[in-house]
Amino acid sequence: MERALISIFKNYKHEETDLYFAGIIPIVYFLSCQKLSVSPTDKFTDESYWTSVSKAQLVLNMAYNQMYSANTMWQDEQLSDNLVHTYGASDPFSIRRGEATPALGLFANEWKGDYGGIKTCLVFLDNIDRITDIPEATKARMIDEIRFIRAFIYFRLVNYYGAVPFFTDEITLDEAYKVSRTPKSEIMTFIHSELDDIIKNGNLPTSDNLAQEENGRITLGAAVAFQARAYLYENNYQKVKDLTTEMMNDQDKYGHYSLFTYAAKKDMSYFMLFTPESEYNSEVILDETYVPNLKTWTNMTSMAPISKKAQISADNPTQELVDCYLTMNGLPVKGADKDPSYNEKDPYVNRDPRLYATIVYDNYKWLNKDGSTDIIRTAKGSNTEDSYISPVDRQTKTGYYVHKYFDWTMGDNFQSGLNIIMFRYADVLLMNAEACNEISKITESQWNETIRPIRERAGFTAAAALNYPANKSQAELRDIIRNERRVELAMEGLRWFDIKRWKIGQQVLNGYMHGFKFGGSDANVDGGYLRVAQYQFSDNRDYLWSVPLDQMDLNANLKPNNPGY
Amino acid sequence: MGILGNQEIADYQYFTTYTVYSNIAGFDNNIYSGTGFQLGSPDLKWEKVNTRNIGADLSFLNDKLSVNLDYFYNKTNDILLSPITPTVLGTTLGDVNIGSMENRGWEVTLNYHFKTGDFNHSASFNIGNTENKALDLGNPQIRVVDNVGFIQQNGLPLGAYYGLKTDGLFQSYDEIANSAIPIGVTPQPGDVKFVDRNNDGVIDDNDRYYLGDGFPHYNFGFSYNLNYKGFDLSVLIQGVGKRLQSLRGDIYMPFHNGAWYPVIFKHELDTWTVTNTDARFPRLTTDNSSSFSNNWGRPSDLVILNAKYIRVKNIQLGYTLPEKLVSKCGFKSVRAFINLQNPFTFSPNSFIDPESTEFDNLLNASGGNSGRNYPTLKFYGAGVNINF
Repeated sequence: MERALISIFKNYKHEETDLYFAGIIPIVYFLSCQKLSVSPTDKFTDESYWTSVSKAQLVLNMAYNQMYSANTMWQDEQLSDNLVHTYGASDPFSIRRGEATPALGLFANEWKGDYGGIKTCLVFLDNIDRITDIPEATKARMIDEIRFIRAFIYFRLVNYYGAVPFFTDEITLDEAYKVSRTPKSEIMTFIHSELDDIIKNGNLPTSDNLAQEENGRITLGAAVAFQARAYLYENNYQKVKDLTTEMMNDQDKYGHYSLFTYAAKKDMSYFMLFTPESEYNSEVILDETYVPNLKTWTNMTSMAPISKKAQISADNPTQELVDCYLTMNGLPVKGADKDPSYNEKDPYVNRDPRLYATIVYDNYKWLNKDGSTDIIRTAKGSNTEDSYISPVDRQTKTGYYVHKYFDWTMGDNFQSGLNIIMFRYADVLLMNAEACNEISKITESQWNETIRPIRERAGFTAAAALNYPANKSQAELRDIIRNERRVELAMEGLRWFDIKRWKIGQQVLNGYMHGFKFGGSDANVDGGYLRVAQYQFSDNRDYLWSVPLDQMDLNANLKPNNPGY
Repeated sequence: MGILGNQEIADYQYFTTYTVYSNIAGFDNNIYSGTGFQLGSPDLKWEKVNTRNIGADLSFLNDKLSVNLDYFYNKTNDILLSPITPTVLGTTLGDVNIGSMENRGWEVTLNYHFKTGDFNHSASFNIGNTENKALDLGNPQIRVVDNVGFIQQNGLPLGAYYGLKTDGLFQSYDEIANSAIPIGVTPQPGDVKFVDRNNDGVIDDNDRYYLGDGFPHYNFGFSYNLNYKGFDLSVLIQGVGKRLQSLRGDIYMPFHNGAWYPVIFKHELDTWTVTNTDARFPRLTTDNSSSFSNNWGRPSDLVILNAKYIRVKNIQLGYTLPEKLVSKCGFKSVRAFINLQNPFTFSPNSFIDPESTEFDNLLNASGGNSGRNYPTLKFYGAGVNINF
């Protein structure tokens, strides 16, 4: 190292009449042109980093962190008709109301976050060979985990934006200014071939072989479930059926999964599935993991009841979702098959127990961790902390609060260490049922392997709920299976992508989102159900997001934008 | 004239660095660290500030009047900045020497001393202005912080506001039908109307304007001192001739986001109604309505206020007792005075301290100005100074 320091001090003074002219050159530093060779002591450099397995694991950990998040899950749910935003502005809400412009923050942030995750994966893959003392099996497993994560992030990108920049090696800054968008189908082909490879390689352990301290790491079963979902979103039902059938029938090969049951109280199984006590149970295929106090999420602060210390009720379950839950008799509460025993004035009794596990409603019996219960009132005029008051108060605006994923171990700061489930076995069964029915009407035996066990686990006992509805047509069964999927997977961030692939945006996301009947509204307007927000859905525009405006300004090759923006 | 270096920059930016962060991933409820990284910038140089300065001291009327003129021009080159790059790169660059910007300004100071009979007067007035401009700061950066829009772009000053221009409030459905409106919004009379800059019939991101900057211009001060026998009087006035300030939150938005701070201040009562059509604020709406997002949800000049002001900072009136009188009591001197600090402020918006700002020293804004700073204190006092 050589550094020259020269200081010059000069003082000019020109005395001309009364004017003087003064200037100073205090100090000038010259840095020599030789390259500095001092390395930082508090950080690693490219030259010093890639030395050991543990360093590679740290980069892999970062990729796990960037793959998904609780925030993303809830945001995706807000894009659907299950949750409605009722307090101030929110980007998913702007999208649903048809007000989003290409400058929307969410469009830019998702793009940036996703490519940040891709970058981590690519840095890992480009450098892993520099580590010499790494067991081949360890290395192969880590590489396949990274490839899974890279595929998962690209999958998110294409689902939001359609065609996006696609590369599998790190790009230079120059390339970043010029890269254009690759068609979605090409990227999907890559995702499928990556997952095929990963499944075939067998470098990932099955859930059966996963050491306990590795709970949360990607397994072979996760790769198959992801592959099934990737085909599902393309409506490739034959592939979906093949993959899910393999997972169901060849569990020695792909890992033993089953619907979680809570032995102490079977009818509380679904409820207990989303509690900290049940993390990493037999149903979970892959989690986005959190750790109490250290790695946490706080979204419940805007969704839980106020009496449970939520600050403000900003994201509320809709009446549209509540109406999807069957009665215990296995009948819907609306339409031609409507359960005659259903009473709109007392709507929450005798319903699918998953309603109780998912949504807080008027006269709700809230179960605390210590076994005690509290009654939550939401009806207007019931005068509790949680009661509906008006569209501008901090209480619920639909009459509902969220229960599912409420972590009853968290403190008043609403920091939850509860894992968010990305893939679970019930989803595999639901994918299988849907695929079977799309290929040719679902059979009794297929029903009995999928929908029936899901409903049994949910707590149904009536034959009409459990038995194969042989008299229904394929189209009617389609509706039943779709409704089952919506109810079982509500508040898991999947509904929007189902709306997207079923192309039902116009049906379910155009018009008013509603709240309950007990808000004191005019009985002649929408049957007295509160109008909470008006959505607008354009088929031409709203199945895809806009490419971020600032990114198109930096790189014209990203244009043309998706239609409608 | 001179060139100055700046050493207030982060270390080791010439390397691609890997930094280990804690609490990144959890497996089986045990926490693990993870590594992030930043690309290096191998050719780092010092920032250079090029300073020029010219001044004149003039005096007239036997030194009773003195005039001081000053002009300066600073140009900073090779500014170390983290450049705005496409996010598809997946990471950010460390600081690189990309920037240049200039500061130019002038200041005039007048001092005048004179006597009328037993009265001794001394008055001083100064005024100055500084303009800064980004000359070459790389790609433009548009940011929205708390619904206030900012732009950093070559040719514009730092701390520049950016957003839609309002064109009053809609007064009728006819007017709405004949006006450009934002996509997806169904405004009603009493909602904010925006200027359709490009005349394409739609209000969108292409209709945004540079709306001015938040830096104070034409700062001035005036002081006056008078002595008459034992009496003394001093007055200090100061102000800013041109400045914009942005405001957010309950101090400027009636009911803010209703549920959180359900308050409305007296200065917010002038909202549009059918009988109050020339209102300052748009009509009251629920905070999740499309009108609310039209009126308050998009960055515009609605939240940008004229922050010029004149403030009487200090008035002091004193009387020093005759020396003969106090020496009898064994005192050297005794002076009694009354003092008024910040007794009067004249500004277009009385509800907010015109000196409050969302900007830090480097003209960055990390959050909007909610006006929750400590107010400038008014202080009325009196006292006696005794010297033994």
